[in-house]
Amino acid sequence: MPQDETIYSFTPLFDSTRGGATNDIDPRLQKLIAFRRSGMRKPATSSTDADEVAVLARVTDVKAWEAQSEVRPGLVIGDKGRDGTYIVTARIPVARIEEVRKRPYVKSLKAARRLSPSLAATTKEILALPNLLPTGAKAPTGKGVIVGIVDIGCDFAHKNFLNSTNKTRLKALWDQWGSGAGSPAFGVNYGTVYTPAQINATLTKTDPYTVLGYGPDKRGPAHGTHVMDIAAGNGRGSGVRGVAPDADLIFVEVANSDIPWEGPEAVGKSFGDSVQLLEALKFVFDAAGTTPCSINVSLGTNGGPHDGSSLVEQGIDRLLTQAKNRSVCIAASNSFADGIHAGGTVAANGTFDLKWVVAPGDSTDNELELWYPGATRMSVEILQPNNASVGTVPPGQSGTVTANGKIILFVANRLNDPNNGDNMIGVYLHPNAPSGEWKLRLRSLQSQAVDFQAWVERDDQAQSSFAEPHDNSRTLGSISCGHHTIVVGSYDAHKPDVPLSWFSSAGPTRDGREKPEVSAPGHAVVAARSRSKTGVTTMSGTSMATPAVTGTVALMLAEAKARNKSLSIDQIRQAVLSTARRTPPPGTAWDSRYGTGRISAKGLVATVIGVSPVASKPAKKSKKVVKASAKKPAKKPAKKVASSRR
Amino acid sequence: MVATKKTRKTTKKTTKPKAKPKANAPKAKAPKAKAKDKSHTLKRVSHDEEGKIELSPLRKAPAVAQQENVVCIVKVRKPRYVPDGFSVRTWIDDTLYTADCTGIDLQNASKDPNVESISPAERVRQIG
Repeated sequence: MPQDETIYSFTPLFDSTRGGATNDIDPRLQKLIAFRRSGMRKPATSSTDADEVAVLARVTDVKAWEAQSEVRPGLVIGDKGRDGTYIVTARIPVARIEEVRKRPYVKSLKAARRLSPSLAATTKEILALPNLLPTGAKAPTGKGVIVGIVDIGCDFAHKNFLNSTNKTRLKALWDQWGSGAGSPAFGVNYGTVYTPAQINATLTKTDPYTVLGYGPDKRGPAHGTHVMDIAAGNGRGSGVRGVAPDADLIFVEVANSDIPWEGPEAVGKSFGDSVQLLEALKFVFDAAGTTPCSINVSLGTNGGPHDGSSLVEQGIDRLLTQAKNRSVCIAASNSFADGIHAGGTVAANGTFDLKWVVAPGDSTDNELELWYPGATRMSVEILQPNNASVGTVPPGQSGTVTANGKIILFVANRLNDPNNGDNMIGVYLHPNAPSGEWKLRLRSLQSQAVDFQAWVERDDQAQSSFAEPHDNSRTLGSISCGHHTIVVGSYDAHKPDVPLSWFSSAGPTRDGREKPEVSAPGHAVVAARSRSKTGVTTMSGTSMATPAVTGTVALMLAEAKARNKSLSIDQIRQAVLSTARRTPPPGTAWDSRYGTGRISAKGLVATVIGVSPVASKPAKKSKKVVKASAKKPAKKPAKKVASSRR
Repeated sequence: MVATKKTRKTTKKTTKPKAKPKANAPKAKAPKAKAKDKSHTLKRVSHDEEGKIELSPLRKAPAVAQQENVVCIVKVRKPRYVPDGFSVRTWIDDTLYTADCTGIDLQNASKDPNVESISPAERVRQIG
């Protein structure tokens, strides 16, 4: 150990000879006092002025507390406690901490703690930081590969997406809404494709978004920006990097070919469609060419056959098997607790009443899909909330109910779906349809029981659901059941036991395949905030878990490229499955929400290097190891934290 | 982007025919709509002609036979086969592509032996 000849001296903070306070003060406040005494100033933050600190206090007299000239009052939290005190928040000058603490009605004074400190919670937990990756990794930051993001809202001007010369890291940005005629060079004939040169020309402008003709929504943090930062932000703005910070980027702003321009569904919605989603994926892979490419899709709905047979899922699967070094990660969905799935068995020649609840005041469309085996036959009778029957639809027929000349209900009992041969009953309710508990009376038309699975379509404004008790299994999204995609669930990396996120959807698929494959941190994730240049915001969802896996696969592909190896999608998926960490989930079996386990960047990269994958360890032990070995991921603190619930 | 959807609609320009801005079921007439309207009574119709068309999105299903533009994914049995009236947008591979067509074209394609299945565009939202 090298000798250090520096002479250190200890200066007590509280010296009785100076007449100061006792050390009965929160250590974090003591630290501020000490810094101030040594001439250091505390900088301003979004909620405090310079040399001011946010505090939580327990006081016996709120009026006296707020009357202090030093105190900038905040909130009174709750009612009077059993001990006769109140919990209050405030901002006070660092210079007055000791005095305020001495007031007789102040029983406790604590500095506010930062919550959800940063994206580092994700990168540490999944073992993606360079010092946590296997020794000898040649591409620990994802250099040489492309991360593709198909989403909504790309803040190309955020510094996390600029390189060291302040040029964009984007290789292409396709705005499907754009007024251009596409780009022959990129093989698309609608929307606008922006090149790096076009983007770079705007970056020094006051309003680069107007100059370019594209920008993320002004009204709130953009989903796509947050997602891209988790997968591949470099931290040059926020101070905290994402999983693959040196990867190149391609973004597609996905649009919809047929959206309602009026009415409630046009308000506050951000969505694309299945056709243009597929075109977006094709665009990204084409633009990437032979460069390894990991694409993130945090989009979806609830309906569909849930067996991977929909044409959009077949299309994605085909893209993945056309060439090596490609992957697509898709969010599992956030519908676990929404009551959107039901399953059951209709007895031979018997009936089953499936109850569907539309809340009073629901002014939106509502849809339901029910799938049953192609070899069986059922009729469906629709009963209104007042129990009056509107009629029965036999197999192979459909029907409508009209009121005042408008369709308020459409029901189809369709046989032999072209993609999987199964039968599907679909029901559509117009907003004018009565609210309450609708019933689908399913009747088996043969001496054979009929199994069924049903889903209520997603509705962010007024989600209808099946009647309780809910069966929350099989709540995966509409495009999350493909055969070659990697589907991702969410857990909370901020807690020692890394519990599942309450919303994270469950598998398996309708045909019994084990999806989600893997899970990642998606709870209260702090990442880039659009239109802030350097700021961050908090979002939760499997949308936030998925880019952690997208970035991790990018690290794997980069390592493979550095070693002149190519990986098929089957090899990539197998590596994801075989290196996922357990405990949680407990045991060794596939878990319907964690999947095979928690993603491990260390494990994935190790499989490429050829060393043994990381051993499964209990979460608590694993986190201790991580904490002990982890270095600070960034020099600068995260700035301007805002929060939004997704 | 949400904030500018309406604006963008007016400026949207593509080289392909696009779907109508709105084709919700409520605007569509029911099959056999000439029959006397009787509230809350089911009017049934066989939809065997839709045998190759994915039924989703349900809100559009009653309108599938209308003279409207449809954006869809097409799967065919014969490589590079494109049914009459269909205009390919993007080839995924030789037997699967995205396309524009009309409701009538869709109906005709459902009887085409070279067509395996067709999926009209369906919304996908941010999962959050």
